[in-house]
Amino acid sequence: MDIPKFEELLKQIQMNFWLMGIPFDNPKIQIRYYVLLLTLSLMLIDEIAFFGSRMSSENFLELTQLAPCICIGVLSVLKILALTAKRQKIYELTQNLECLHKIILNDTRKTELVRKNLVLIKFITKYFFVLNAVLIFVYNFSSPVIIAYNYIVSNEVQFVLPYAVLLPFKTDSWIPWLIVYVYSIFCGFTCVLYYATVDVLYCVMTSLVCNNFSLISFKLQKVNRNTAHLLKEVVKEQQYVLKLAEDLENIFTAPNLFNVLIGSVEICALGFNLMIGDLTQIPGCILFLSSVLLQILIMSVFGENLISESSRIAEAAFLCKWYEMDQKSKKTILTIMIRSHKPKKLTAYKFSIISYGSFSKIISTSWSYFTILRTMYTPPGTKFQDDL
Amino acid sequence: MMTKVKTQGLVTDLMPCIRLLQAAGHFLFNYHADTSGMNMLLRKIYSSAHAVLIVVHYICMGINMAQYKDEVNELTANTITVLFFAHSIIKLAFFAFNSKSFYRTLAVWNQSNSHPLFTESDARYHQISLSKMRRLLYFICGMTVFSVISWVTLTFFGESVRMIASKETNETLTEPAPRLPLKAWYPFKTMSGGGYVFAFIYQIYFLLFSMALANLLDVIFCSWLIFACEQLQHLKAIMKPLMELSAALDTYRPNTAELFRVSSTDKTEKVPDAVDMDIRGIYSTQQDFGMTLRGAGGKLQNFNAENNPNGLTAKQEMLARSAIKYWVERHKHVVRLVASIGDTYGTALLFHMLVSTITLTLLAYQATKINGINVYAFSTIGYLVYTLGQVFHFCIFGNRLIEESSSVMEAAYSCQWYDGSEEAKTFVQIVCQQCQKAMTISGAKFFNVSLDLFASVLGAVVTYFMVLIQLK
Repeated sequence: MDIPKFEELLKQIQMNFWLMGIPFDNPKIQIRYYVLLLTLSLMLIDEIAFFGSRMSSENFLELTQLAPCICIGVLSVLKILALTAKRQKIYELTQNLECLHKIILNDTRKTELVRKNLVLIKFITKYFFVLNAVLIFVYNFSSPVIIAYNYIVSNEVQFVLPYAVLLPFKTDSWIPWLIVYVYSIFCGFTCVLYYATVDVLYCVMTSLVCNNFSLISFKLQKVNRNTAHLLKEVVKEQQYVLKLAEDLENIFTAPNLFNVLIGSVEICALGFNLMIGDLTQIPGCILFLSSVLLQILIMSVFGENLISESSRIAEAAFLCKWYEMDQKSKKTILTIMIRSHKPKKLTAYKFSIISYGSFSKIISTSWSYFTILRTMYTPPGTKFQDDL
Repeated sequence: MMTKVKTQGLVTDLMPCIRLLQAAGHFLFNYHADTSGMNMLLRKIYSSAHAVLIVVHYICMGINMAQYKDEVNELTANTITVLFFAHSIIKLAFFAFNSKSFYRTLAVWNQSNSHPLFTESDARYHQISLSKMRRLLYFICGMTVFSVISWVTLTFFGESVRMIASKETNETLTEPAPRLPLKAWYPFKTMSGGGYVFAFIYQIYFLLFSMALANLLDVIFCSWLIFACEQLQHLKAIMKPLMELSAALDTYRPNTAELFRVSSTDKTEKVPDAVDMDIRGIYSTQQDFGMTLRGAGGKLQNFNAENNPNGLTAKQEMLARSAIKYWVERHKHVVRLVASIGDTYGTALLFHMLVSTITLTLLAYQATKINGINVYAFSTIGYLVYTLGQVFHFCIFGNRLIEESSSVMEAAYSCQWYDGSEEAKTFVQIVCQQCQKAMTISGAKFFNVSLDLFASVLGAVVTYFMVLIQLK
């Protein structure tokens, strides 16, 4: 497959940013950003109000059904707010990565090294958006389908809304229902737009930084006695890419934290629903649960990639023909190795590292909370039986 | 009449905090201008009086707890209160027994080295650390006063009762109790009248002074950590100019004859005595610059202006070499400071964490009984937030120290060392190797003070809460 150009990789993301109202080339936030954010926040407040109104120990199952929707909404709003605060850094980082990418494309040897990675990024970019779009379409347009089905079966029209909200007016007739329905699906699309864009941006940027690290490793490995003067170039490049990785960490530390926290809550609630809820809920639950797990898995995979690529430089330093070089170059190699033993990590606001280890920790923590919830939960109706 | 006491180093920076500690009744008797026998005696009497008052009230609370131990809820609530104020008693006693090591740590920075090139950076970071320490002190003082005020205010809400377990019917009855901030036994009647007013004032005094005792000692600890972190920032900041300075230095030909000659005027560097951490005499500008009184290059070869291979005068060469020495010695000084802080305060942290763990477990149990927005909910949540806040307070500064000390390596690597001299490269190598290991404060070697500790404490509380709620 052809090597994608930098513009191709970022095209979808840039268009999404423009749609959201924070275009790449303009530091000013557009009006539509505030409009979109406000509509989504209003929807969330409605949902949380509904959640609060139904809060009691009998409705526990219903509450865990409402929780995932609210969680995803809150997560996407928090992520986009965190990213808007850092958008200047994002623009600068993309420009720096673009320069480096051009240099890669000019050299066929380098291109061959990173070909597989770039193709993978392009694949992920395309199919992640497609997958999420399909999901939200199904979720949103399930309501008219259910209404039609009910009408056919029982010949009466039941006005079903896709998301449970607390409204001051009733939606028993066509006009109010239509207004609320259109509003709901609009908010659904906005929500998916937000978090899908943030996730794909994270994947693309982390991969590009990893590519640069692996190119440095490759260059370092090929250094021999005659090309020892290139070591200085290697060090400069490594310092530059380390600085870019530092910017990456700075941009994504807050979204990662929200992802980790809210992701565990979502897994817990969805797992509970899956076990205890009735059979009609199961397909939806499985779909939702697998998308949440996939999101956290992708985040951990790219974090782990960065750790392994940045520490591979130490191995590459050892694999070059250092034993043939002069004393000065050996010293330089030693310094490079000492530095590269400490890998570049992405963190969730310094509370935890994003890696495979953290992924298994999230799963196990959610699992333990889920088991506690399950032992705690007594289905309503059993108390009545005791009294009899 | 009060002559200003001559202080230096950390004592000058922490003087407001030290004065507050002395006012609150800690057994801190140094750093006064006037050390006449009469005044010292007065100060000792002052501190002992506070100690006696606070311990007496603590014992009264303990007697109250023993009196009403039959009813579970009452017992739990009283135990939480007793544990809460155990911090103050422990810290008071800890300081009294350990004051020597506190004085030692405060004296660690009395004599520090200096270099003409880096005095500006040194002063700047010193100023930053000073302002941060002040801000922390104001914040903690404000929070203490706010806690006392809200505690006293909360006393006037809700019904002031006590739970009694009736032995015949096995129910819990309520009997009226005096409306006081704390439940304690008094030898006089406190339901109303003069006894009530006296008890109320005594309890306000007890609340304010015991919270101040505990919190101010934590402030001293965190201020030390702030100082150490800002010193590390200073070291990171001067790394770049240091590299640029040594970029031209490429030849070091030691005058071997001079190196191996034992000189009578050569003051050997004093290794700090393990017991007495008096660092006086280690730093002297003469040795820093390696110059003898008679001119440059005591240990190096003398070059004439034309023969000097670097193109530097001997004085410039000396300047560059002394800069490296300054960096390394300053870093060693910071390591000494951190080690001293750990030795001084580690055990106190261990006791704090032990008591806090038990308190938080009991608080998790109390939290399961919250059934609405009432006085009980506010007081339980207040206790929880305060206890967690105390733990968070020193965890966050311990974590900052870990971060700063491990980022020195990255700062060393990110300067242009590849353009530097061989000496500079070796310097960077050794610095990188040493600074890989972060400087940590440990609670008597049991745990490291960091945000991980806080996260594990928080996770433990949530787990206990969830387990207890199902046992309900």
